[in-house]
Amino acid sequence: MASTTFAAPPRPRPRRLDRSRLAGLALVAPSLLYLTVFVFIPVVKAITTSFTVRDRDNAGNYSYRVGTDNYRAIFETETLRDNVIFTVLIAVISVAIVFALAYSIALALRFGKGPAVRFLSRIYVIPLFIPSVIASYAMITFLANHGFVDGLLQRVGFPDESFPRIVFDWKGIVITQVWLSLPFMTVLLSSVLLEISDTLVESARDVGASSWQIFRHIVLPLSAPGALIGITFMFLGVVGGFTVPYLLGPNAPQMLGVSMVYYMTNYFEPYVASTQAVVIFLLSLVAAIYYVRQQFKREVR
Amino acid sequence: MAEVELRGVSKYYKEVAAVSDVSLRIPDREFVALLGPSGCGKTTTLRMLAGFIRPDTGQILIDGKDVTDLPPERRPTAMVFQSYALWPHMTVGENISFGLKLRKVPAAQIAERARAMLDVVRLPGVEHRFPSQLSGGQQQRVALARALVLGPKILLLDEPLSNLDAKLRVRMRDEIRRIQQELQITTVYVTHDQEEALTMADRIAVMNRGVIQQLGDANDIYDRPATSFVADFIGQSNFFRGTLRRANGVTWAHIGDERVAVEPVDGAPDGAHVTVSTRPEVVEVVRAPEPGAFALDDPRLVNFGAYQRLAGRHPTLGPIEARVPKSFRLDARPVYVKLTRARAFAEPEAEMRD
Repeated sequence: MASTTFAAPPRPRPRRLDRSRLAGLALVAPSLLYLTVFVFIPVVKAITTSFTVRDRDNAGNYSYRVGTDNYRAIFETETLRDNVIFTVLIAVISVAIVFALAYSIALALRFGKGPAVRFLSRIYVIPLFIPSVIASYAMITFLANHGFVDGLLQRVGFPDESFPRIVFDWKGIVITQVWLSLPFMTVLLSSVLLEISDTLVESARDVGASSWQIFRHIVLPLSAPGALIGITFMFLGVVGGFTVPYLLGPNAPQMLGVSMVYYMTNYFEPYVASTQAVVIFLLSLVAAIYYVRQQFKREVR
Repeated sequence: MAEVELRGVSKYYKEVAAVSDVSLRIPDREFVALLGPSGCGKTTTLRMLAGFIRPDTGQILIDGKDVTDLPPERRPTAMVFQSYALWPHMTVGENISFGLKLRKVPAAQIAERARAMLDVVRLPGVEHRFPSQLSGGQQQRVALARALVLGPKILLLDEPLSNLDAKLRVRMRDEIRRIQQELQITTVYVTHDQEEALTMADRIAVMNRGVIQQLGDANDIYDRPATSFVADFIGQSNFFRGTLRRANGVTWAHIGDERVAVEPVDGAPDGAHVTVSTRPEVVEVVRAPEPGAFALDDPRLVNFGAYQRLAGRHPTLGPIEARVPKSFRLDARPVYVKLTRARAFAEPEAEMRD
């Protein structure tokens, strides 16, 4: 064996704030400032407001104190509590429907062939380019009682009043949210499915797996992390949504975003509004924590 | 185990034949390598055997049973992919036992068989690791175990070593051959690496342009190439163009106003245009003129470590190379070469070296 001499390891350079570090700080500063002004401060302010209780004495004078009354109100007052439940339900139902539809389309785009698939791959993105206000108004004229669809059905012989109430009802919110979120979820799931290489599917077929078994044991688990991220984002979008429930939702119960605005501007109850905002924030936080954990797991892999 | 047969199998993509009328019979326990450059149809042939591609014409038989229309999941074949194709969300143990689980084998037996198979590929005790925690060579062993655990009749390997580094490739080569011998399994191995094919396979099918150019063992292919393509693709050869002439029981290739004795050629008339090839290691080098020896102009030596290569030019024949020992020295004396064991191929010139 030939002998080798090793050079002494280089001495570590002393750390100091050099030019490149300053440049790094300068690059981070604007976004940090933005986050502070538009995210951190409002969040802190909303939380403090939500713990502020306004009392009114008999003479009509206001007094303020710190307390959890607003939170008790949210979970004990029937209308307010219903709003929370309604928000969560709408989010869960919309996400479930979008996920089922988007996953089917993404599967067809990934594994299907032929002109139908090519056609589908071109049109499914269209809603992505239509603003939610426009979509909501379109849904109103389209699905309202005595609207376009109802009129069409009556013309072919359905009796008047047989068309279900969709607009200004929970169904209106769900249908419009589904319509709006479908392309994004499909894009996301398609890219997740594209990441699964053909050989992983082929090797499963080779050991004897049927299409269903490949889906169940290979495609679904491999796409789960990406799919759950999509679900998280859509859940966030629906929970914090305003335009669609404002234009298409019922008067009661209301989704939290709508209710918040009413309490803030119509009822002059910024304390209840802030509390509702914090509830939305907490619901989002659950989703966000989940997202971060998924990302972390991915990196560990 | 089993015998495989391809009968007149073709596969076209648009108008182009990826595989053209290939017939091949592989007896039980034989290790056959499909060897050729990229795009020669070797992988398409293998994927037709596995069932991933349906041939446009012809039949595929396993043990005499027509499997042409069977999908891969219903064929008694197992494939090892170039990229290993291990499922990243499953542990090594789960990867290997997946096929057994689908077949509803009892759990205790599954674990036992998976463990036994990891022993066969000499990778015991990694059941609970994920594929990403293994090296490339280890992953390839797991892929092999996953394919073999189902007890397939035919083992198909698609360039299984091309993602490994050179040293490991040589080791895995011996491993795969050892496992094949141990399990006595009929094996089809696709590769573009002639060394792999020559060292591992019982027989080699050299493919080009969707056609099997030659089928034979390492000696047939190397010493008696059937076409100029085989002579060129396997090892190295000197090539000349000439015309065939027979005289006094000797077959000659006339090249310009020179002539070279060649091995007898069947089925080509006198006057046929031929491609003549001879390997550098059978070219004899002499330092004095003698009959049949060609003077080499401008000789140079290239050192290959284990041997040297002598390269030069003959005014009529063109460039000629010969393998010479390391003790060989160039000096003032002239250099002559004798082209022994030359072979002549009567074939359209377009066939040659592409």
